[in-house]
Amino acid sequence: MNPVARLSLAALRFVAIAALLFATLLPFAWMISTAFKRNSEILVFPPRILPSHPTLDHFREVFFGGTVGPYFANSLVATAVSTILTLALATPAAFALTSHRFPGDAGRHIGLGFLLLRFLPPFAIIIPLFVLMRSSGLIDTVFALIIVYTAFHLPLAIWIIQPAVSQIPREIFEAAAMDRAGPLRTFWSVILPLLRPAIATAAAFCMIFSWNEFFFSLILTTNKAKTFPVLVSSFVTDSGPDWGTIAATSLVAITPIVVLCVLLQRHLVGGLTSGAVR
Amino acid sequence: MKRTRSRRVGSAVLAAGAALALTLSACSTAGGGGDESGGDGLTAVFLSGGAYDPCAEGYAKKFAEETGVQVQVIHEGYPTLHDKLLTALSSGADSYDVIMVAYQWTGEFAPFLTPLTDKLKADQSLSGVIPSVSQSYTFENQQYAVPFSAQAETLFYRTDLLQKAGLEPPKTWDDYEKVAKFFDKNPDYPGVYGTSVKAGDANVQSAFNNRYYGLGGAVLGTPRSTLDVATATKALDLLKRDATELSPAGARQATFVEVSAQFAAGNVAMAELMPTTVLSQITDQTPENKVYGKVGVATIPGGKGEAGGWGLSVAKSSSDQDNAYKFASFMSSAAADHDCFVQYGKSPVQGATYEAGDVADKFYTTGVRAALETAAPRPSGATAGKLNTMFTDVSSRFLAGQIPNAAAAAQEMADEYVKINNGK
Amino acid sequence: MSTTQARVRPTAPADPGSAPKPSRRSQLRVPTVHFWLLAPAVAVCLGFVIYPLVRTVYLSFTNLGAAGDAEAVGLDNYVEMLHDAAFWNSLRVTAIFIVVSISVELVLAWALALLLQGTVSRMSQTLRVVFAIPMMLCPVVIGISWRALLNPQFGWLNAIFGTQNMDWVGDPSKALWVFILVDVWHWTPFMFMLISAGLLGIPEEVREAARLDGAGALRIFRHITLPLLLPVTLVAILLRALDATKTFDLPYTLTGGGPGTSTQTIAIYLYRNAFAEFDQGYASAVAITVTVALSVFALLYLGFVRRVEKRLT
Repeated sequence: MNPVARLSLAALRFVAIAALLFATLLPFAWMISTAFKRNSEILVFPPRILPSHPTLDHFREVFFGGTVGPYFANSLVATAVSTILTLALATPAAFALTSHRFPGDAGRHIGLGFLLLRFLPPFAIIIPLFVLMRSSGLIDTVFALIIVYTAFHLPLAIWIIQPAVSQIPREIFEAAAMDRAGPLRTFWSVILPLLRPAIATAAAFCMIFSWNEFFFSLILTTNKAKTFPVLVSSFVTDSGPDWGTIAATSLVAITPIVVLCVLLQRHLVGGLTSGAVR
Repeated sequence: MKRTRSRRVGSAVLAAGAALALTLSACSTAGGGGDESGGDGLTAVFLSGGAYDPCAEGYAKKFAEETGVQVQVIHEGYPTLHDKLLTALSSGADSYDVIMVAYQWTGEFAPFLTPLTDKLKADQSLSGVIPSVSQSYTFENQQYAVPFSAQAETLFYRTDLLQKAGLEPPKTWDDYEKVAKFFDKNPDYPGVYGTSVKAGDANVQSAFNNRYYGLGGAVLGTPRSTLDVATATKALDLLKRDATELSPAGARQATFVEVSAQFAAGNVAMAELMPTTVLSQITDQTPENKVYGKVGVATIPGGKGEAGGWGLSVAKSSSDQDNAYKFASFMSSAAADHDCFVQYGKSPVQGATYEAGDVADKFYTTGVRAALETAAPRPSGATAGKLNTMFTDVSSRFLAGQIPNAAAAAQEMADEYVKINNGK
Repeated sequence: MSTTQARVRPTAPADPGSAPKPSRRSQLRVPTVHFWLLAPAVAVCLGFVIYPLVRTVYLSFTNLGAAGDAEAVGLDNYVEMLHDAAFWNSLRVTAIFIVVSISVELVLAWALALLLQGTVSRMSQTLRVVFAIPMMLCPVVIGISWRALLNPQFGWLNAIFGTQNMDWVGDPSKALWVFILVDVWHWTPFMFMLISAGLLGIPEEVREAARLDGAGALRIFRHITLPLLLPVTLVAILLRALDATKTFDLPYTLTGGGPGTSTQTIAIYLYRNAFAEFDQGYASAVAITVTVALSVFALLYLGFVRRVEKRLT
């Protein structure tokens, strides 16, 4: 490459990165600024970037208004338990589907069924689901959310894990068979460790989707089991959005998942690379 | 051979499913039992908002002190409140005892609410409620809610600007148009817009109704009524000009907060608003309030604006009907009404609140009350949900240019109106 | 989000794990271990997805409304749907949204991945983490924040770019594009991660060998990078297309479907019918139609991907 081309590539790279950083961080800057502004200062023209009289009122309302604690716990429990459940169900299922030929080609049909479920829009089942949950007394329980998230993310998790199973070399299965290991032992002590990257990826996506889920939580909870996204949306009043509280709550709501995902970043990409190419 | 086997698989899967379902239902009853142990308190759902939150919380506590009945207050956002309540109520869920409902939902929600007419008649503490306000919660001769918050579209205008320009506060929509056009891009009044219309989906129907009623249109939603196409055409034309030419940019997504902020910042000569939000910004002397002492309040041009209001209803499924009513009544009693208005800005329902010493002489009191007493409601019958959605939808599509002209939009409104209101 | 190979052919050809094989008799009587590994997942989906779905099919032939009593109305809902201009409009909006947003996301993601390719410094690692943040965010928060940023008077964007009083989400000719742009902001990181992961997976020797053979950058891209990453890209398109069809939270909080019906996606249309107007029978019919159409599209598309893959290998 000649120096001019190299230089212009570097410049292009710099501009792209700068533009991207700006776009990515802009909403955060707005949230932080708004969360510290007094109500009367939020809607002023021209807009101010920095609050002239910073206030902690919105955070005080969020933390001591008695709202955030329970919602935080709801979001946390729904996300954690549904993710664990999803993986506990999906991993064996992916293993069984890939490594075993079920009678009557049932495996292929079930696999395809899972695939199709991945395409199902939530609104296609919400009405009967609501009635089902109500008749079993599960409305407004975190348990209902756990069930729904698990059922809805299962196909996704199976979809992520299955290819990883099919990429395990045949020899490993054969070696396990030689050791007279049954399918369960093969799965537990041979296959499972090999699937770790794929499972981590599936876990990350389940967590992101569960933590951010809005529609089911909106319909299936009334009060006790509300999660963060519903809480954020509830600060829109009959006269318009309550920007300050929304910004403060949003910040509190997104921090855990962003921190978690940044920590898990290696696995997010790791699971993808191991499966993506070849 | 194959078939037997797959059938076996099928039945085994079914069995597993059934087992799972059983386990789940067992868990759920256990969980449900645990939840109930909290006591026999009431659950009341309120619309969230700066005026309602502290009022509801504070008076729920007072109610508990006075009666020993605990009330758990839930706050719900405006955009989702109607849909959530209707979903829960229509499926027979008993999640709520007391429900804050908009008056226009009365007919739609009536099957799931307890009629309160007899209790209200016997209730001395509510005898001072403004009669027209009570009336708006009546459906098929039964009243379904204790009025909790009552306001109406009201005209807020800048006395200083109008005086300087030698203009009178507009009495008709034609006057309004003239005043708004006078200030529009007028070099003598830099940065001042003629008006600002909150024409976002949540409020565009109010903007239409203000004009339709103000131009002489009959109250909408009454049985076997029709929509007057000529009046609606003119109303839509005025609305579009006000929203797209005479307002600051963004009218098609504006709500009360934006328009109130613009008004308080001194950028707008006149605005049609309900009092709650705007009063909280223009009453006190603050650095952001640029219009302190320069605001006049009057009825909407044509003398008739759209009514707004929230009531407290008792759910039919509530197991504690008496206490639920007592709480609703307590929230609107004269003391609570006055206190919640003065402290938090909740719009009062008791006539006495307007006459109280610390309210009567405020610059807005006469105008706000006059607007409230002359206001006309939106449809509130059994089909109101669909009617109001239709009005919003057609107005919004017309403002967005998706319907070519006002006459076509008005015709569509009239046709749909007859179809929905009078049955097919 | 990983490989295409097994994804398009969900069943592996071999049967390596089931040895030693139980006898035919015992296979008939006792379900295998594998069966029990699979059954719980199937049961959960049957109970909480398939069963409600079947109920929805049933409801779509009724006139279930707020009053709670449903009468059978045959195909009325479906006929009404086909005659509803708003339904067709929402299909059109959804189609434009999907095609444009995914195209832009793809191009941006590819460009970024290529641009950042080969930079493995600590700085670029950090950047990759930062760029991935939008996809972790809650769509409700994204919608509300961008709505505020785009406010014509009080929003930051007009102040920053000096486009004073420019109306974005409130202008029917711009609203859909703004919605698409915010979706691009939200989901480009996902595409970017997939594609840059794929790029990282191409062994450097392959490219080195091509370079030694005298191939230019363009030719390497055309004959090595592109074919190797085509399957991942195709699957990414499918995933995004399906998720985009379901998108509800973002338009709901960003534009609410307006102004007018200019951003009324199929999900918003459905929600309005089911929960604002409470025509649950009708909404069920729409939901079923969309689901069937999506499944057919997905199956056809998967067949297409399979053929492309075959030609590549």
